[in-house]
Amino acid sequence: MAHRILASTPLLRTSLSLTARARAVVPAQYANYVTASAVVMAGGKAKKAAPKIKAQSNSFRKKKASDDDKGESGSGGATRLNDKYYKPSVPVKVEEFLPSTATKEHVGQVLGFPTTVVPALEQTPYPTLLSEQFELVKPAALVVRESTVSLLEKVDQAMKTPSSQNRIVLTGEAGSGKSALLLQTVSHCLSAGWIVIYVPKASTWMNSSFAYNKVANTTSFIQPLLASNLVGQIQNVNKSVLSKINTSEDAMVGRHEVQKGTSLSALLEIGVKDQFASQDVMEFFMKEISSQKDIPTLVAVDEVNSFFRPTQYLSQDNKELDPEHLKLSKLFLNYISGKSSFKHGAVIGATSDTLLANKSEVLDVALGVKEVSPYKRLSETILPWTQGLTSVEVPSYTREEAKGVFDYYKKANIFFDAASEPFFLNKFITSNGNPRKFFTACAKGI
Amino acid sequence: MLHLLGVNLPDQKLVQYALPLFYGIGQKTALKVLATLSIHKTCKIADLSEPQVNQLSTLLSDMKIESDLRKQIRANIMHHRSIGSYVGRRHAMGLPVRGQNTKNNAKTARRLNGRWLKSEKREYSSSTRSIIPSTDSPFESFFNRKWF
Repeated sequence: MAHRILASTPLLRTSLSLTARARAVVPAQYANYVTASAVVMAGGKAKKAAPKIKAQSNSFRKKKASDDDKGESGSGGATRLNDKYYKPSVPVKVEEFLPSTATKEHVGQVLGFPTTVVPALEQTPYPTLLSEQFELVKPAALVVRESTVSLLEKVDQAMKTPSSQNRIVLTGEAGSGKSALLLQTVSHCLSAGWIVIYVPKASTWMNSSFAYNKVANTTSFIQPLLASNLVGQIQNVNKSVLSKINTSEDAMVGRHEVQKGTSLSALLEIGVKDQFASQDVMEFFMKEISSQKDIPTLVAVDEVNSFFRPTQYLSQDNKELDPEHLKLSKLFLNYISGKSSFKHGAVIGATSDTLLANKSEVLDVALGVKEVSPYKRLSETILPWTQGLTSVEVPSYTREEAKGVFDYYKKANIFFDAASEPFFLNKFITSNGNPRKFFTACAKGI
Repeated sequence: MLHLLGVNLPDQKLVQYALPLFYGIGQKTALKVLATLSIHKTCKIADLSEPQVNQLSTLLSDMKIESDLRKQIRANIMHHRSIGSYVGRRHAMGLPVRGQNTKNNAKTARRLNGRWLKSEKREYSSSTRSIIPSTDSPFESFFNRKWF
Protein backbone atom coordinates (compact mmCIF):
# COMPACT_ATOMS: atom_id res chain seq x y z
CA MET A 1 0.00 0.00 0.00
CA ALA A 2 2.77 2.35 0.91
CA HIS A 3 4.48 1.32 -2.31
CA ARG A 4 1.59 2.52 -4.42
CA ILE A 5 1.49 5.83 -2.60
CA LEU A 6 5.21 6.26 -3.04
CA ALA A 7 4.87 5.70 -6.75
CA SER A 8 2.32 8.49 -7.15
CA THR A 9 3.61 11.59 -8.89
CA PRO A 10 3.05 14.34 -6.32
CA LEU A 11 5.29 12.60 -3.82
CA LEU A 12 7.87 11.70 -6.46
CA ARG A 13 8.41 15.32 -7.24
CA THR A 14 9.13 16.40 -3.71
CA SER A 15 12.67 16.98 -2.58
CA LEU A 16 12.38 14.60 0.34
CA SER A 17 14.67 11.57 0.65
CA LEU A 18 13.20 8.11 0.27
CA THR A 19 13.13 7.47 4.02
CA ALA A 20 11.39 10.79 4.65
CA ARG A 21 8.80 9.99 2.01
CA ALA A 22 8.23 6.56 3.47
CA ARG A 23 7.73 8.05 6.89
CA ALA A 24 5.28 10.56 5.45
CA VAL A 25 2.94 7.89 4.07
CA VAL A 26 3.00 5.57 7.08
CA PRO A 27 -0.41 5.63 8.83
CA ALA A 28 -0.51 6.85 12.43
CA GLN A 29 -1.15 3.37 13.85
CA TYR A 30 2.21 2.14 12.59
CA ALA A 31 4.13 5.31 13.32
CA ASN A 32 5.11 4.28 16.83
CA TYR A 33 6.51 0.88 15.87
CA VAL A 34 10.17 0.86 16.82
CA THR A 35 12.49 -1.29 14.71
CA ALA A 36 15.85 -2.60 15.85
CA SER A 37 17.60 -0.29 13.41
CA ALA A 38 15.93 2.72 15.07
CA VAL A 39 17.40 1.68 18.39
CA VAL A 40 20.85 1.29 16.89
CA MET A 41 20.57 4.60 15.06
CA ALA A 42 19.46 6.37 18.24
CA GLY A 43 22.64 5.16 19.91
CA GLY A 44 24.85 6.26 17.04
CA LYS A 45 23.08 9.57 16.41
CA ALA A 46 25.57 11.63 18.38
CA LYS A 47 28.42 10.49 16.10
CA LYS A 48 26.41 10.52 12.88
CA ALA A 49 26.53 13.66 10.74
CA ALA A 50 23.30 15.22 9.44
CA PRO A 51 21.95 13.15 6.54
CA LYS A 52 22.17 14.82 3.16
CA ILE A 53 18.71 15.36 1.71
CA LYS A 54 19.21 15.90 -1.99
CA ALA A 55 16.63 16.34 -4.69
CA GLN A 56 15.93 12.85 -6.01
CA SER A 57 16.29 13.31 -9.72
CA ASN A 58 15.28 10.41 -11.94
CA SER A 59 18.29 10.82 -14.19
CA PHE A 60 21.54 8.99 -13.64
CA ARG A 61 23.86 10.85 -11.30
CA LYS A 62 27.56 10.33 -11.94
CA LYS A 63 29.44 9.29 -8.79
CA LYS A 64 32.14 11.79 -7.89
CA ALA A 65 35.50 10.72 -6.49
CA SER A 66 34.55 12.18 -3.07
CA ASP A 67 31.64 9.79 -2.73
CA ASP A 68 33.92 6.78 -2.54
CA ASP A 69 36.52 8.42 -0.37
CA LYS A 70 35.41 7.14 3.01
CA GLY A 71 38.37 5.35 4.59
CA GLU A 72 38.05 1.63 5.49
CA SER A 73 37.53 -0.85 2.73
CA GLY A 74 38.57 -0.38 -0.86
CA SER A 75 35.18 -1.38 -2.26
CA GLY A 76 32.78 1.52 -2.82
CA GLY A 77 29.13 2.05 -3.58
CA ALA A 78 26.67 -0.72 -3.04
CA THR A 79 29.24 -3.21 -1.78
CA ARG A 80 30.49 -0.97 1.03
CA LEU A 81 29.75 -2.44 4.43
CA ASN A 82 27.43 -0.43 6.64
CA ASP A 83 29.31 0.74 9.75
CA LYS A 84 26.26 0.20 11.94
CA TYR A 85 26.03 -3.50 11.29
CA TYR A 86 29.57 -4.58 10.43
CA LYS A 87 32.12 -3.95 13.11
CA PRO A 88 35.70 -3.79 11.90
CA SER A 89 37.39 -7.14 12.34
CA VAL A 90 39.85 -7.63 15.13
CA PRO A 91 43.29 -8.44 13.71
CA VAL A 92 44.31 -11.82 15.09
CA LYS A 93 47.84 -12.52 16.23
CA VAL A 94 49.21 -15.27 14.05
CA GLU A 95 52.64 -16.70 13.58
CA GLU A 96 54.43 -16.20 10.32
CA PHE A 97 54.28 -18.65 7.44
CA LEU A 98 57.96 -19.38 7.02
CA PRO A 99 59.83 -22.37 5.58
CA SER A 100 60.49 -23.42 9.18
CA THR A 101 56.85 -23.25 10.23
CA ALA A 102 55.26 -24.84 7.15
CA THR A 103 55.77 -28.39 8.40
CA LYS A 104 53.70 -31.43 9.34
CA GLU A 105 53.60 -30.38 13.01
CA HIS A 106 51.88 -27.15 12.06
CA VAL A 107 49.13 -28.67 9.91
CA GLY A 108 45.88 -27.08 11.01
CA GLN A 109 47.48 -23.86 12.17
CA VAL A 110 46.64 -20.61 10.51
CA LEU A 111 49.81 -18.69 9.70
CA GLY A 112 50.01 -15.20 8.30
CA PHE A 113 52.20 -14.00 5.47
CA PRO A 114 55.52 -12.72 6.78
CA THR A 115 55.97 -8.97 6.96
CA THR A 116 58.96 -9.20 4.61
CA VAL A 117 56.82 -10.91 1.99
CA VAL A 118 53.58 -8.89 2.24
CA PRO A 119 54.84 -5.85 0.26
CA ALA A 120 55.86 -8.19 -2.57
CA LEU A 121 52.50 -9.98 -2.47
CA GLU A 122 50.65 -6.69 -2.59
CA GLN A 123 52.23 -5.73 -5.90
CA THR A 124 49.50 -7.81 -7.47
CA PRO A 125 45.88 -8.08 -6.33
CA TYR A 126 44.92 -11.24 -4.45
CA PRO A 127 42.62 -13.69 -6.26
CA THR A 128 39.15 -12.12 -6.17
CA LEU A 129 37.20 -14.36 -3.80
CA LEU A 130 40.20 -14.81 -1.52
CA SER A 131 40.65 -11.06 -1.30
CA GLU A 132 37.05 -10.75 -0.05
CA GLN A 133 37.96 -13.13 2.76
CA PHE A 134 41.12 -11.17 3.53
CA GLU A 135 39.09 -7.93 3.69
CA LEU A 136 36.84 -9.44 6.29
CA VAL A 137 39.37 -11.40 8.30
CA LYS A 138 42.56 -9.53 8.95
CA PRO A 139 45.47 -10.15 8.66
CA ALA A 140 45.77 -12.14 5.42
CA ALA A 141 46.50 -15.62 6.69
CA LEU A 142 46.02 -19.14 5.39
CA VAL A 143 45.88 -22.48 7.10
CA VAL A 144 48.73 -24.96 6.69
CA ARG A 145 47.24 -28.03 5.04
CA GLU A 146 48.60 -31.47 4.25
CA SER A 147 48.57 -30.54 0.60
CA THR A 148 50.62 -27.43 1.47
CA VAL A 149 53.28 -29.52 3.14
CA SER A 150 53.49 -32.03 0.28
CA LEU A 151 53.60 -29.30 -2.39
CA LEU A 152 56.31 -27.40 -0.54
CA GLU A 153 58.35 -30.59 -0.30
CA LYS A 154 58.17 -30.89 -4.08
CA VAL A 155 59.13 -27.24 -4.44
CA ASP A 156 62.13 -27.71 -2.17
CA GLN A 157 63.28 -30.59 -4.35
CA ALA A 158 62.84 -28.33 -7.37
CA MET A 159 65.51 -26.06 -5.96
CA LYS A 160 68.16 -28.35 -7.45
CA THR A 161 66.41 -29.60 -10.55
CA PRO A 162 65.45 -28.03 -13.88
CA SER A 163 61.95 -26.64 -14.16
CA SER A 164 61.04 -28.91 -17.09
CA GLN A 165 60.86 -31.72 -14.52
CA ASN A 166 58.79 -29.68 -12.07
CA ARG A 167 55.67 -28.60 -13.90
CA ILE A 168 52.64 -28.91 -11.69
CA VAL A 169 49.00 -27.93 -12.16
CA LEU A 170 46.76 -27.68 -9.10
CA THR A 171 43.31 -29.04 -9.79
CA GLY A 172 40.22 -29.56 -7.69
CA GLU A 173 36.62 -28.50 -7.32
CA ALA A 174 35.56 -24.88 -7.05
CA GLY A 175 36.57 -23.31 -3.76
CA SER A 176 38.85 -26.14 -2.71
CA GLY A 177 41.88 -23.92 -2.10
CA LYS A 178 43.96 -24.00 -5.30
CA SER A 179 44.66 -20.26 -5.44
CA ALA A 180 45.33 -20.23 -1.70
CA LEU A 181 47.82 -23.06 -2.07
CA LEU A 182 49.53 -21.20 -4.89
CA LEU A 183 49.73 -18.07 -2.72
CA GLN A 184 51.36 -20.08 0.05
CA THR A 185 53.91 -21.46 -2.41
CA VAL A 186 54.66 -17.96 -3.65
CA SER A 187 55.13 -16.74 -0.09
CA HIS A 188 57.38 -19.70 0.72
CA CYS A 189 59.59 -19.09 -2.30
CA LEU A 190 59.80 -15.36 -1.60
CA SER A 191 60.92 -16.06 1.96
CA ALA A 192 63.45 -18.58 0.64
CA GLY A 193 64.95 -15.98 -1.71
CA TRP A 194 63.81 -17.37 -5.04
CA ILE A 195 62.96 -15.25 -8.08
CA VAL A 196 59.18 -15.34 -8.18
CA ILE A 197 57.01 -14.48 -11.16
CA TYR A 198 53.41 -14.57 -9.92
CA VAL A 199 50.52 -14.06 -12.32
CA PRO A 200 47.31 -13.85 -10.28
CA LYS A 201 44.86 -13.68 -13.21
CA ALA A 202 46.10 -15.14 -16.46
CA SER A 203 42.64 -14.66 -17.97
CA THR A 204 43.23 -10.90 -18.19
CA TRP A 205 46.04 -11.64 -20.64
CA MET A 206 43.65 -13.41 -23.03
CA ASN A 207 40.37 -11.56 -22.70
CA SER A 208 41.15 -8.74 -25.11
CA SER A 209 41.54 -6.12 -22.38
CA PHE A 210 45.03 -5.00 -23.41
CA ALA A 211 46.09 -3.41 -26.68
CA TYR A 212 47.79 -5.73 -29.15
CA ASN A 213 49.87 -5.13 -32.27
CA LYS A 214 50.88 -7.47 -35.02
CA VAL A 215 54.57 -8.14 -35.46
CA ALA A 216 55.48 -7.60 -39.12
CA ASN A 217 56.01 -10.71 -41.24
CA THR A 218 54.87 -13.11 -38.54
CA THR A 219 51.58 -14.46 -37.23
CA SER A 220 52.45 -13.25 -33.71
CA PHE A 221 51.15 -10.32 -31.75
CA ILE A 222 52.66 -8.36 -28.90
CA GLN A 223 50.86 -6.73 -25.99
CA PRO A 224 53.15 -3.80 -25.10
CA LEU A 225 51.27 -2.39 -22.11
CA LEU A 226 50.71 -5.81 -20.56
CA ALA A 227 54.36 -6.74 -20.94
CA SER A 228 55.39 -3.41 -19.43
CA ASN A 229 53.08 -3.95 -16.43
CA LEU A 230 54.45 -7.45 -15.92
CA VAL A 231 58.03 -6.26 -16.12
CA GLY A 232 57.30 -3.57 -13.52
CA GLN A 233 55.61 -6.08 -11.25
CA ILE A 234 58.52 -8.55 -11.45
CA GLN A 235 60.96 -5.79 -10.68
CA ASN A 236 59.04 -4.59 -7.63
CA VAL A 237 58.59 -8.08 -6.25
CA ASN A 238 62.19 -9.24 -6.73
CA LYS A 239 64.12 -6.00 -6.35
CA SER A 240 66.78 -7.16 -3.94
CA VAL A 241 67.40 -10.50 -5.63
CA LEU A 242 67.62 -9.14 -9.17
CA SER A 243 70.03 -6.33 -8.39
CA LYS A 244 72.64 -8.99 -7.62
CA ILE A 245 72.36 -10.81 -10.94
CA ASN A 246 74.03 -9.33 -14.00
CA THR A 247 73.50 -10.00 -17.67
CA SER A 248 75.96 -12.40 -19.25
CA GLU A 249 76.02 -10.82 -22.70
CA ASP A 250 75.23 -7.72 -24.76
CA ALA A 251 71.79 -7.43 -26.20
CA MET A 252 69.51 -5.11 -28.13
CA VAL A 253 66.11 -4.65 -26.55
CA GLY A 254 63.84 -2.55 -28.72
CA ARG A 255 65.80 0.62 -29.42
CA HIS A 256 68.00 0.28 -26.34
CA GLU A 257 71.39 -1.31 -26.05
CA VAL A 258 72.12 -3.41 -22.98
CA GLN A 259 75.73 -3.92 -22.02
CA LYS A 260 77.04 -7.13 -20.61
CA GLY A 261 77.12 -6.89 -16.81
CA THR A 262 74.13 -4.60 -16.25
CA SER A 263 72.00 -5.73 -13.34
CA LEU A 264 68.69 -7.38 -14.18
CA SER A 265 66.71 -4.74 -12.30
CA ALA A 266 68.24 -2.06 -14.55
CA LEU A 267 67.22 -4.20 -17.53
CA LEU A 268 63.65 -4.38 -16.26
CA GLU A 269 63.62 -0.60 -15.76
CA ILE A 270 64.03 -0.22 -19.51
CA GLY A 271 60.89 -2.26 -20.02
CA VAL A 272 58.94 -0.22 -17.51
CA LYS A 273 59.84 3.07 -19.17
CA ASP A 274 59.45 1.96 -22.79
CA GLN A 275 56.47 -0.33 -23.26
CA PHE A 276 57.41 -1.15 -26.84
CA ALA A 277 60.73 -2.58 -25.67
CA SER A 278 59.10 -4.56 -22.85
CA GLN A 279 58.51 -7.74 -24.87
CA ASP A 280 62.19 -7.94 -25.79
CA VAL A 281 63.12 -7.10 -22.19
CA MET A 282 60.89 -9.92 -20.95
CA GLU A 283 62.40 -12.45 -23.37
CA PHE A 284 65.97 -11.46 -22.58
CA PHE A 285 65.21 -11.48 -18.86
CA MET A 286 63.74 -14.98 -18.95
CA LYS A 287 66.72 -16.20 -20.96
CA GLU A 288 69.13 -14.75 -18.41
CA ILE A 289 67.46 -16.14 -15.31
CA SER A 290 67.01 -19.55 -16.88
CA SER A 291 70.71 -19.77 -17.69
CA GLN A 292 71.96 -18.98 -14.18
CA LYS A 293 72.14 -21.64 -11.47
CA ASP A 294 72.55 -19.67 -8.26
CA ILE A 295 68.98 -18.56 -7.67
CA PRO A 296 66.01 -20.83 -8.49
CA THR A 297 62.94 -19.39 -10.19
CA LEU A 298 59.28 -19.99 -9.53
CA VAL A 299 56.67 -19.20 -12.17
CA ALA A 300 53.26 -19.27 -10.47
CA VAL A 301 50.26 -18.82 -12.74
CA ASP A 302 46.71 -18.70 -11.45
CA GLU A 303 43.87 -19.35 -13.92
CA VAL A 304 46.31 -21.36 -16.01
CA ASN A 305 43.39 -22.84 -17.95
CA SER A 306 43.25 -19.64 -20.01
CA PHE A 307 46.58 -20.67 -21.56
CA PHE A 308 44.95 -23.75 -23.03
CA ARG A 309 41.97 -22.37 -24.88
CA PRO A 310 41.49 -19.80 -27.69
CA THR A 311 41.83 -16.19 -26.59
CA GLN A 312 39.32 -13.44 -27.24
CA TYR A 313 41.75 -11.63 -29.50
CA LEU A 314 41.08 -11.73 -33.23
CA SER A 315 43.57 -12.18 -36.04
CA GLN A 316 43.33 -9.99 -39.10
CA ASP A 317 41.23 -12.73 -40.70
CA ASN A 318 38.70 -12.39 -37.87
CA LYS A 319 39.65 -15.74 -36.35
CA GLU A 320 40.29 -16.25 -32.63
CA LEU A 321 43.95 -16.25 -31.73
CA ASP A 322 45.47 -19.05 -29.70
CA PRO A 323 47.69 -18.11 -26.74
CA GLU A 324 50.74 -19.23 -28.72
CA HIS A 325 50.14 -16.37 -31.16
CA LEU A 326 50.58 -13.81 -28.39
CA LYS A 327 54.29 -13.44 -27.77
CA LEU A 328 54.11 -12.94 -24.03
CA SER A 329 51.78 -15.90 -23.55
CA LYS A 330 53.97 -18.02 -25.79
CA LEU A 331 56.97 -17.16 -23.68
CA PHE A 332 55.18 -18.49 -20.62
CA LEU A 333 53.74 -21.45 -22.50
CA ASN A 334 57.27 -22.50 -23.39
CA TYR A 335 58.13 -22.77 -19.70
CA ILE A 336 54.80 -24.35 -18.76
CA SER A 337 55.12 -27.00 -21.46
CA GLY A 338 58.82 -27.64 -20.81
CA LYS A 339 60.13 -26.41 -24.15
CA SER A 340 62.22 -23.88 -22.23
CA SER A 341 63.49 -24.58 -18.78
CA PHE A 342 65.07 -22.83 -15.83
CA LYS A 343 68.26 -24.54 -14.69
CA HIS A 344 66.77 -24.62 -11.21
CA GLY A 345 63.13 -23.90 -10.54
CA ALA A 346 59.52 -24.87 -10.91
CA VAL A 347 56.43 -23.89 -12.86
CA ILE A 348 53.20 -24.20 -10.91
CA GLY A 349 49.77 -23.39 -12.27
CA ALA A 350 46.34 -23.41 -10.68
CA THR A 351 43.13 -23.91 -12.60
CA SER A 352 40.20 -21.67 -11.85
CA ASP A 353 36.49 -22.37 -11.98
CA THR A 354 35.58 -18.74 -11.54
CA LEU A 355 34.49 -18.07 -15.11
CA LEU A 356 32.84 -20.88 -17.06
CA ALA A 357 33.93 -19.25 -20.31
CA ASN A 358 37.60 -19.71 -19.33
CA LYS A 359 37.44 -23.46 -18.77
CA SER A 360 39.79 -25.51 -20.88
CA GLU A 361 38.53 -28.93 -21.83
CA VAL A 362 41.87 -29.77 -23.43
CA LEU A 363 43.72 -29.18 -20.16
CA ASP A 364 41.18 -31.16 -18.14
CA VAL A 365 41.46 -34.11 -20.50
CA ALA A 366 45.26 -33.94 -20.62
CA LEU A 367 45.50 -33.92 -16.82
CA GLY A 368 43.04 -36.76 -16.51
CA VAL A 369 40.55 -34.67 -14.58
CA LYS A 370 37.85 -35.11 -17.20
CA GLU A 371 37.00 -37.84 -19.65
CA VAL A 372 35.49 -37.16 -23.03
CA SER A 373 34.32 -39.40 -25.80
CA PRO A 374 37.27 -40.56 -27.96
CA TYR A 375 35.36 -39.26 -30.97
CA LYS A 376 35.46 -35.73 -29.66
CA ARG A 377 37.99 -33.63 -31.52
CA LEU A 378 40.24 -31.69 -29.21
CA SER A 379 42.17 -28.72 -30.53
CA GLU A 380 45.27 -30.06 -32.20
CA THR A 381 47.11 -26.78 -31.82
CA ILE A 382 46.61 -26.57 -28.06
CA LEU A 383 46.96 -30.24 -27.07
CA PRO A 384 50.74 -30.44 -27.67
CA TRP A 385 51.35 -27.73 -25.05
CA THR A 386 49.87 -29.90 -22.30
CA GLN A 387 52.43 -32.71 -22.50
CA GLY A 388 54.16 -33.66 -19.29
CA LEU A 389 52.09 -31.66 -16.82
CA THR A 390 51.53 -33.31 -13.43
CA SER A 391 48.18 -32.80 -11.79
CA VAL A 392 48.02 -32.28 -8.03
CA GLU A 393 44.50 -32.50 -6.68
CA VAL A 394 43.61 -30.16 -3.86
CA PRO A 395 41.10 -31.89 -1.56
CA SER A 396 38.56 -30.39 0.83
CA TYR A 397 39.47 -29.62 4.43
CA THR A 398 40.19 -32.45 6.82
CA ARG A 399 38.66 -32.24 10.27
CA GLU A 400 41.89 -30.96 11.76
CA GLU A 401 42.41 -28.23 9.16
CA ALA A 402 38.81 -27.09 9.42
CA LYS A 403 39.10 -26.89 13.21
CA GLY A 404 42.16 -24.68 12.94
CA VAL A 405 40.41 -22.39 10.47
CA PHE A 406 37.31 -22.34 12.66
CA ASP A 407 39.32 -21.23 15.71
CA TYR A 408 40.90 -18.51 13.61
CA TYR A 409 37.52 -17.26 12.42
CA LYS A 410 36.28 -17.21 15.99
CA LYS A 411 39.24 -15.13 17.15
CA ALA A 412 38.73 -12.80 14.19
CA ASN A 413 35.13 -12.27 15.32
CA ILE A 414 33.41 -13.08 12.07
CA PHE A 415 30.68 -14.93 13.93
CA PHE A 416 29.41 -14.35 17.43
CA ASP A 417 27.98 -17.73 18.37
CA ALA A 418 29.87 -19.79 20.91
CA ALA A 419 32.58 -21.89 19.27
CA SER A 420 31.09 -25.23 20.29
CA GLU A 421 31.66 -28.67 18.78
CA PRO A 422 28.07 -29.05 17.47
CA PHE A 423 28.27 -25.59 15.86
CA PHE A 424 31.57 -26.49 14.21
CA LEU A 425 30.20 -29.82 13.00
CA ASN A 426 27.16 -28.08 11.59
CA LYS A 427 29.30 -25.75 9.49
CA PHE A 428 31.76 -28.46 8.51
CA ILE A 429 29.19 -30.98 7.39
CA THR A 430 26.88 -28.58 5.56
CA SER A 431 29.82 -27.19 3.58
CA ASN A 432 31.22 -30.71 3.04
CA GLY A 433 34.64 -29.38 4.02
CA ASN A 434 34.85 -27.14 0.95
CA PRO A 435 37.00 -24.21 2.14
CA ARG A 436 35.07 -21.45 0.37
CA LYS A 437 31.71 -22.81 1.48
CA PHE A 438 33.03 -23.27 4.99
CA PHE A 439 34.01 -19.60 5.06
CA THR A 440 30.61 -18.40 3.83
CA ALA A 441 28.92 -20.74 6.30
CA CYS A 442 30.85 -19.21 9.19
CA ALA A 443 30.83 -15.61 8.00
CA LYS A 444 27.33 -15.31 6.61
CA GLY A 445 25.54 -18.06 8.44
CA ILE A 446 24.42 -19.66 5.17
CA MET B 1 34.11 13.31 -29.57
CA LEU B 2 35.72 11.89 -32.67
CA HIS B 3 34.19 13.19 -35.87
CA LEU B 4 34.67 10.65 -38.62
CA LEU B 5 33.09 10.64 -42.11
CA GLY B 6 30.11 12.69 -41.00
CA VAL B 7 29.38 10.81 -37.77
CA ASN B 8 30.19 11.85 -34.19
CA LEU B 9 31.69 9.03 -32.15
CA PRO B 10 31.55 9.68 -28.37
CA ASP B 11 34.91 9.33 -26.63
CA GLN B 12 33.81 7.07 -23.78
CA LYS B 13 32.13 4.53 -26.06
CA LEU B 14 33.85 1.24 -26.86
CA VAL B 15 35.00 1.22 -30.49
CA GLN B 16 33.12 -2.06 -30.95
CA TYR B 17 29.84 -0.35 -30.10
CA ALA B 18 30.63 3.04 -31.66
CA LEU B 19 31.22 1.74 -35.20
CA PRO B 20 27.59 0.56 -35.67
CA LEU B 21 26.60 4.21 -35.37
CA PHE B 22 27.58 4.39 -39.04
CA TYR B 23 24.78 3.59 -41.45
CA GLY B 24 25.79 0.30 -43.01
CA ILE B 25 27.91 -1.07 -40.15
CA GLY B 26 26.41 -3.56 -37.71
CA GLN B 27 27.84 -5.74 -34.95
CA LYS B 28 29.55 -8.19 -37.27
CA THR B 29 31.24 -5.69 -39.55
CA ALA B 30 32.34 -3.71 -36.49
CA LEU B 31 34.17 -6.78 -35.17
CA LYS B 32 35.69 -7.40 -38.60
CA VAL B 33 36.98 -3.83 -38.65
CA LEU B 34 38.50 -4.28 -35.17
CA ALA B 35 40.13 -7.52 -36.26
CA THR B 36 41.61 -5.97 -39.40
CA LEU B 37 43.09 -3.07 -37.47
CA SER B 38 44.15 -5.19 -34.45
CA ILE B 39 42.14 -3.12 -31.98
CA HIS B 40 41.29 -4.93 -28.74
CA LYS B 41 37.62 -5.27 -27.82
CA THR B 42 37.77 -3.10 -24.71
CA CYS B 43 39.38 -0.16 -26.57
CA LYS B 44 37.51 3.12 -26.22
CA ILE B 45 37.39 5.82 -28.89
CA ALA B 46 39.56 8.02 -26.68
CA ASP B 47 42.25 5.28 -26.54
CA LEU B 48 42.75 5.21 -30.31
CA SER B 49 46.05 6.66 -31.48
CA GLU B 50 46.40 9.06 -34.46
CA PRO B 51 47.70 6.42 -36.88
CA GLN B 52 44.92 4.07 -35.80
CA VAL B 53 42.29 6.74 -36.44
CA ASN B 54 43.77 7.35 -39.88
CA GLN B 55 43.76 3.62 -40.66
CA LEU B 56 40.16 3.44 -39.46
CA SER B 57 39.00 6.31 -41.64
CA THR B 58 40.82 4.85 -44.68
CA LEU B 59 39.18 1.48 -44.10
CA LEU B 60 35.75 3.00 -43.63
CA SER B 61 36.00 5.19 -46.70
CA ASP B 62 36.69 2.05 -48.75
CA MET B 63 33.48 0.46 -47.46
CA LYS B 64 30.04 1.29 -48.79
CA ILE B 65 28.41 3.16 -45.88
CA GLU B 66 26.30 6.24 -45.14
CA SER B 67 25.24 8.23 -48.21
CA ASP B 68 26.80 5.83 -50.75
CA LEU B 69 24.81 2.95 -49.33
CA ARG B 70 21.64 4.99 -49.15
CA LYS B 71 22.08 5.94 -52.82
CA GLN B 72 22.52 2.31 -53.78
CA ILE B 73 19.39 1.21 -51.95
CA ARG B 74 17.38 4.04 -53.47
CA ALA B 75 18.75 3.23 -56.93
CA ASN B 76 17.72 -0.43 -56.55
CA ILE B 77 14.17 0.49 -55.67
CA MET B 78 13.94 3.19 -58.33
CA HIS B 79 15.04 0.60 -60.86
CA HIS B 80 11.94 -1.46 -60.02
CA ARG B 81 9.79 1.63 -60.42
CA SER B 82 11.28 2.65 -63.71
CA ILE B 83 10.80 -0.78 -65.29
CA GLY B 84 7.20 -0.79 -64.00
CA SER B 85 7.45 -4.03 -62.05
CA TYR B 86 5.12 -5.31 -59.35
CA VAL B 87 7.82 -4.72 -56.74
CA GLY B 88 8.10 -1.07 -57.79
CA ARG B 89 4.34 -0.56 -57.65
CA ARG B 90 4.17 -2.00 -54.15
CA HIS B 91 6.98 0.25 -52.94
CA ALA B 92 5.19 3.24 -54.40
CA MET B 93 1.89 2.30 -52.74
CA GLY B 94 3.57 1.63 -49.41
CA LEU B 95 2.36 -1.96 -49.25
CA PRO B 96 4.16 -5.30 -48.62
CA VAL B 97 6.45 -6.18 -51.50
CA ARG B 98 7.24 -9.83 -50.92
CA GLY B 99 3.85 -11.40 -51.26
CA GLN B 100 2.62 -11.00 -47.69
CA ASN B 101 -1.06 -10.93 -46.80
CA THR B 102 -2.67 -7.51 -46.61
CA LYS B 103 -6.08 -8.52 -45.26
CA ASN B 104 -4.62 -7.99 -41.80
CA ASN B 105 -1.16 -7.17 -40.53
CA ALA B 106 0.64 -5.06 -43.08
CA LYS B 107 1.48 -2.41 -40.53
CA THR B 108 5.24 -2.25 -40.95
CA ALA B 109 4.96 -2.07 -44.72
CA ARG B 110 2.36 0.65 -44.55
CA ARG B 111 4.56 2.62 -42.17
CA LEU B 112 7.93 2.15 -43.82
CA ASN B 113 7.68 1.04 -47.40
CA GLY B 114 7.33 4.24 -49.36
CA ARG B 115 10.23 6.12 -47.84
CA TRP B 116 12.90 5.51 -50.47
CA LEU B 117 10.64 6.82 -53.20
CA LYS B 118 9.39 9.82 -51.23
CA SER B 119 12.93 11.04 -50.72
CA GLU B 120 13.60 10.46 -54.40
CA LYS B 121 10.64 12.65 -55.27
CA ARG B 122 11.76 15.24 -52.75
CA GLU B 123 15.22 15.34 -54.21
CA TYR B 124 14.10 16.05 -57.71
CA SER B 125 11.26 18.32 -56.66
CA SER B 126 13.02 21.38 -57.99
CA SER B 127 13.70 19.80 -61.38
CA THR B 128 12.17 21.29 -64.57
CA ARG B 129 9.85 18.33 -64.99
CA SER B 130 7.54 19.29 -62.15
CA ILE B 131 7.67 23.07 -62.77
CA ILE B 132 6.41 22.90 -66.36
CA PRO B 133 2.71 21.84 -66.21
CA SER B 134 1.50 18.91 -68.27
CA THR B 135 -0.23 19.84 -71.59
CA ASP B 136 -2.68 16.88 -71.40
CA SER B 137 -6.27 17.34 -70.38
CA PRO B 138 -7.24 15.83 -67.00
CA PHE B 139 -9.01 12.96 -68.86
CA GLU B 140 -5.89 12.23 -70.96
CA SER B 141 -3.46 12.48 -68.05
CA PHE B 142 -5.58 9.98 -66.12
CA PHE B 143 -5.31 7.39 -68.89
CA ASN B 144 -1.70 8.21 -69.69
CA ARG B 145 -0.68 7.49 -66.11
CA LYS B 146 1.72 4.58 -66.06
CA TRP B 147 0.90 3.45 -62.52
CA PHE B 148 -2.20 3.07 -60.41
